[in-house]
This record gives sequence, structure tokens and C-alpha cells, in this order.
Amino acid sequence: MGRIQFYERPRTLDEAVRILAEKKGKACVLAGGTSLALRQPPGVDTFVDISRLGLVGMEDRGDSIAIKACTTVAELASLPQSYQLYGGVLARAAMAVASTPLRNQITVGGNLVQVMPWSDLPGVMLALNGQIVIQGTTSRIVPLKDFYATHPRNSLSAGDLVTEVRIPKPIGRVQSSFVKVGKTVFDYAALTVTAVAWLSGNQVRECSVALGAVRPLPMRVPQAEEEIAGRIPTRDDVIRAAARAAGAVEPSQDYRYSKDYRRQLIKVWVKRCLHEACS
Amino acid sequence: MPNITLTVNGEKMTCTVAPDEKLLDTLRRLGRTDVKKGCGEGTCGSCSVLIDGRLMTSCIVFSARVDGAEIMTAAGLGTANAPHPIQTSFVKAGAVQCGFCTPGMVLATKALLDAVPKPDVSQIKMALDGNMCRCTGYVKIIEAVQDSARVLAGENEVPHE
Repeated sequence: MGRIQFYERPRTLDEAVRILAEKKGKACVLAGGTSLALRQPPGVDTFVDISRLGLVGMEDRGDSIAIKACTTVAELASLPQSYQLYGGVLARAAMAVASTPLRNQITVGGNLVQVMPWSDLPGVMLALNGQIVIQGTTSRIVPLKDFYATHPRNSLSAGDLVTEVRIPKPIGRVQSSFVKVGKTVFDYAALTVTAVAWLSGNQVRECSVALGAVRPLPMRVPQAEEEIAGRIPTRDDVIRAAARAAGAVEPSQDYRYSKDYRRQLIKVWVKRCLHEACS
Repeated sequence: MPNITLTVNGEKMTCTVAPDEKLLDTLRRLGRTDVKKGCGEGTCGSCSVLIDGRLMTSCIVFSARVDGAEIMTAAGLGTANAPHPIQTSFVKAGAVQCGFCTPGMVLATKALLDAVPKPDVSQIKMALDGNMCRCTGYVKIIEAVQDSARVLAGENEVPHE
């Protein structure tokens, strides 16, 4: 502590982006501040507080729903759309994050960018084919699949500011399932699984399976998805998809959970989530 | 150095804070030592305060970020001479042992009952999920929340031995 010397409170998005660009990596974005309170990036001497720029709530973007970056996880959990879209997986994932006082502080943007052990949102947003909207020196919209190819803390440049995440509106009948596995409700996840099935009648047109917390970054599991997509999945298909997921992923190992234990969890919970999403 | 204004338990205060100063440290510096520092990293909940009515762990809230906010600490809820019904219920139920978690617990209860006046047990557990007690085992704390909900709803108090 004590390295931070300046606290900037820009009044507009443009001003925030300008300060971030001018400071060339010596400034960092402060939204909820929960991860910055624990660890500040090396070389940073300035906080740029973006919590009062109106980046709060959901907005309709035509074919997608925008969740603005400074929406707290508690606010996300209480928005009606979080329950209505995709069978309520957004609300379920939001309620899985950390604890009540932390959900009142942690923002959606922060949770997606920092990918901390308590980040339960990246997996669900990845499964829903979310896109991240970045404003800055080069404004762009990046599919989360690409956003999580490397750690966002490394790929975002000094003048970049994440302003919202967009979730495509569901087309046709869509069923979803989300689970966070941990020892207590407040524990870091050993694993999160999100399974989504886009249906035509009984047939699963498209399927997505995303895992969080098993690796440093959230990931899709195409090996499991391809066992389900295009089929009217049977119990055997679901079991085979889960086994392929467990075989395809090299889980992280830490003092909480061994690699083998996490692999077992993947096998069991991908099966259960796919079963729920496909039936 | 940012200058900030806070309204703490109804009293307006202006002070200068370091840019990375936490609200917990600011409040204790201002004499509000009813806010307790436990883990210092947002895990235990003992430093919980209400910021504009919302429960937050003040040890990881940057003071400058909440400039202009209304803060309530446990002493703002009620005092030893004039306790709030929630505080009375905690005492009656025996929900206080070492007492270190209690300022956070009563504020978590306040936030819950403001939103859900008659919570069920699972709602109580969810609302207190960020507040750790290492003494009581939570049974009496949950009883205290249920008791205070009844008292605040004007229902007859359940007598305690």
C-alpha cells in the first residue's frame, strides 16, 4: 500500500479513457474495487474511479442484452431479465458469487476482467456466447471466446475500458443449467459448469458447455458440445459427453482440490448439467 | 489527497483520505471503533457497515469511492442505552459470545429485514452468508434474527429463559 498517489474521478467516459491513455499503464480502473483492495498492479500510481459514469443496469441492444460494466453482482441477481433469459442462469450464477456484502461491491465488468477465484460469471457468459464491449484508444467488440484466449489483464491495453457485456437474446426454445461446486456457499468454486441447449422440438440444434475455476481461465468444451449438438440426446450421449469433457481438460491443482478430484467433478457435473439442459 | 464527505450515523463529516485508504480505517480514525477489523480482506464480515442501505465489508471499500454516502455502523442502529430491537434480540437469544462479529451481524440483519420483513431460515442464512461467527455455531444468531423480525412486525415476543 501507499504506492497509489492519485485518485481520479472522471465525469464522462471520454475523460476516463483519456486519463487511462495519458497515464500509459500507470493508472488502473476502479469500479467495485474488491480485487484492487487486495492487490494493486505493479507500477500503478493512479486509480480512475468509473463507478459514477452511469454504467449501471441492463439495456436492450436489439439482438442482444447489454449488461453494463459497473452493475453490481447483487444488482444483476435482482434484475428481472436475469431470471427470464436462458432459464435464469444469469441470476443463479450471480447469486453464486462470494457473499452478500461482496455481491454489493463486485461489479460485472470487474468479475469478467479480473477472473479472480470468486469470478463465477465468466463461465456462464462464455456459454451464452457473450461479447465484451471495450472503449478506448481502439474501441471494439470481442467475443468472450477470444477475450479469454489470454488473461484479460494482459490483453487489455492501457487506454482500454470495458463498458458492457452483451448477451445474445435467446432464439427459439433454450434450456440452461448452471452449478457452482464448492465446500460452502461462500467458498471459492472448485468448478462451475454452465450447459445451454438451443432446441428445435426435442432436437438440440446447438449446445454449449463452459467450465469455470478448473483452469486459470474459463473455457468452452467443444468435445462435449459436439456429442450433443444435432441430436436428440440419449442418456448415453450425455454420459459420453461428460466423459469426453473430463478427458479433454487438464485441471489446475491447488491446496483445495487435486487434479484428479477436479476431473471427477467435471465428469459428474457436466453430466448432470447437460441432463438438466437437454431434458 | 481526496477530500470526502460522509454522513456517518446521521452526522456529516468531512475529511482528507489517502487515495488508497479503506473506509474501515477512515471510520476508526474518526472514532467509530464500533466497526471491527477482522480479516482485512473482505472475508469475515466483522467490519460490515451499511453504505446507502447496502451491506458492504468496509475493509475493502476505498473511502474515496463512497464520497457523499450515508454510512450506518452498529452504533447508528442503536446504543447500549437505547438499543434497536435487533440488538435486543441478539442479547436475548444469547447470540453474542465474544461479540466481535456482532456489529456486522446486526447490520446484516438490518439490511435483510429492511428488504424482507419476514424472512424464512434459508433467506436468513443467505443474508448472513458473509458474516462469520467463530463462537456460536449460528443457531442462536438465526433465532435472534427470527425474534427481531417478530418484534419489528409488532408480534408478541417469544419469551426467552
